[in-house]
Amino acid sequence: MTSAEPAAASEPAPAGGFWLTRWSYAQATALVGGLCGAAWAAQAVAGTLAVALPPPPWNWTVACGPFLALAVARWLRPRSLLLDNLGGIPVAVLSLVALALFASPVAIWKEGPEAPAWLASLGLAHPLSTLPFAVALALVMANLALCTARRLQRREPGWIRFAVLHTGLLTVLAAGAAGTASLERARVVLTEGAGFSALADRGGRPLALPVELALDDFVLESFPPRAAVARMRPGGWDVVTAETFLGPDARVAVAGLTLAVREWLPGAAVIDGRPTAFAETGAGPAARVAVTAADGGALGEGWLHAPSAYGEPLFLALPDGRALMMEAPRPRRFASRLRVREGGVERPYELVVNRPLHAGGWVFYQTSYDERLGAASRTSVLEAVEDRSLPVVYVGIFLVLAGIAAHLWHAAAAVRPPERAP
Amino acid sequence: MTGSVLLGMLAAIVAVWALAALASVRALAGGPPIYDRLGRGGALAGVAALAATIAALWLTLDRPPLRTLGETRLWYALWLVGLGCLLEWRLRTRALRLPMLAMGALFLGLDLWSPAALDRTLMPALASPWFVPHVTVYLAAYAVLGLSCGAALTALWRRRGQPLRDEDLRLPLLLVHLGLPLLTCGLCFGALWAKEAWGHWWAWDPKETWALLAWIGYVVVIHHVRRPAARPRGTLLLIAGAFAVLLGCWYLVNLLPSAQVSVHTYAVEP
Repeated sequence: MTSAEPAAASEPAPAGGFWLTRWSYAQATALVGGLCGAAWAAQAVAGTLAVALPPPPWNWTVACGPFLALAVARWLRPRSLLLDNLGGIPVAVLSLVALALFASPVAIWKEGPEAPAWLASLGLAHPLSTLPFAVALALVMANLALCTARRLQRREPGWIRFAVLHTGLLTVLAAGAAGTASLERARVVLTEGAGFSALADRGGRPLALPVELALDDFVLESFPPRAAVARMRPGGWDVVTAETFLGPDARVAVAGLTLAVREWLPGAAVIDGRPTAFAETGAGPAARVAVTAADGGALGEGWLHAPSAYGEPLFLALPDGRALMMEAPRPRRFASRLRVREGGVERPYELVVNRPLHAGGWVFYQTSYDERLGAASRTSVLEAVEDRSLPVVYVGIFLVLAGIAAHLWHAAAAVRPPERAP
Repeated sequence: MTGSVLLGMLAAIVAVWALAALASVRALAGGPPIYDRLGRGGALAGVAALAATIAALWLTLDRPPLRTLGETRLWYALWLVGLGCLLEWRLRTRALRLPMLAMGALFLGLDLWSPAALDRTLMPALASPWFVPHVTVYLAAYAVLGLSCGAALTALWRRRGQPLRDEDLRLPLLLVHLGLPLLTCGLCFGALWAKEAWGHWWAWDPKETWALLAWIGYVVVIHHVRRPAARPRGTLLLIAGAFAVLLGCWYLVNLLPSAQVSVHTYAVEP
């Protein structure tokens, strides 16, 4: 990335007072610190003050209007010292530092009701909704608009990649901010065999979606289970898990022990403490294992079964006080086999994590299921999202990627031995 | 490959890099050229062995070995010393030799200190085409920026008590200008992936926020240095400070109270 101003100033700095000169970090600190400090004081006094953009279409006006106006002003007033300074490096650095400062509570502590009391007393229980955060973000965006306008106007070396990158950053920030006011999120809970439903839950309020969904089948595929050895210690358990999976005729090494699987039930229910073959979805496997120590001595034999919807866990107590158990199989993939009805047209769709469903202007994501039942779950939980700002965000991200690729190319060209004096 | 075989390979690579570092110290102190060749050869041999180890681990686990903290340290060491050797050759400098070998050995040593059992499972959220590009670009960025920190600290050490010159800044800044675009790509890839997986391209998750803080740190560096009044010592300290924030993004975030609400914290290693 190149700077907002060339390394050597092309015009002499006007003299006169603290503000009527080319700003250094002193003036930038005074401006950024003053504005953010005043905002923070107001936040601390108001406590519950939450900054939010107005609903559409005014969210775009507020998120973009002032910064476009600044860019136009910079274009029309190229010799304005104030606009030059606001778009300069000192303001860029200090506004970024301020943004980082007001975003950092989210990185360290929980927010909301679980935020530390002292943070809440400063009005920062929800740091990202506060006035100082909004002010810092606005300063960053103002700086981006002004420095980009200046660079476009002056066509200094590297101006194309500079403009592409900084325009992309400004676009992402503006669209992201505007999007917070137009984003719709709702939770959809579907049950197998319950037929079509267009109902969603938007934070406790019902919402009728423009699309009807029916869950035909919820599918959960798991990895095979693994054996684990647990030892109790003060305050908890130390657990060592095997590196290889349990399965028919498997030999597994774990924590200095060797397990040989003598009998394997791919699906089992536990009745009166004994596993019985049970071929129902969600019935986890059971394994009868023989355990030998590192010196070859037999330590015991018994059934292992992970906790499931069809019976309590089975484990083996070892002579040395440790316990051998079967870890619950971890999910590999879960999917909802849906029928989607949109505009009278019905189609099937298998909804998987990382492959959302686009329908009716909404995007549906597979989020969870009834984890108590595992593969036997007949309930699927989806999240429906309507984000009208997303296309603009994507434009911004791709501009950033294009600009940064150009910068990387430029930097890579500088990877050469230092020039030697003749 | 079993866990014990993996640890054996890592121990051998750490030993080779440690010996290469000793040879490089001798070479930098004015020793005969054989020491320099031993240092460079040892570094490259370690890179080749580590690349083969990671490939074998990938085949064993039947998934990209990028899920746990220990697995990411393997890639980090690979990128660090691999890219360090490449830059060393291209720039015809030995200034990166000791930092890259020291950091590479240190990060592999952490895997030896806190070994984790091999885990073949991969949670459904990570079963995405974005998984490999997002994490590997980030680790490449971490490696380049780690080298920039190493170069900055080396310059500060060599010039302690003396004024720094602009040429002392050249290598650390060049590495920042290479690493920051990679860091930005990692950030963008993460946003695009998050939108496909969760429906939110930016959710202010603690890990995401730390990633943004680290990115801001390096953006501050490249803007600050353009100021005519920027002092070399301050810039080098800024580079080191930015890397400290980056390490916070990688490690510290897993230990903070906010980690309990993060979807990005690494799998707990037994």
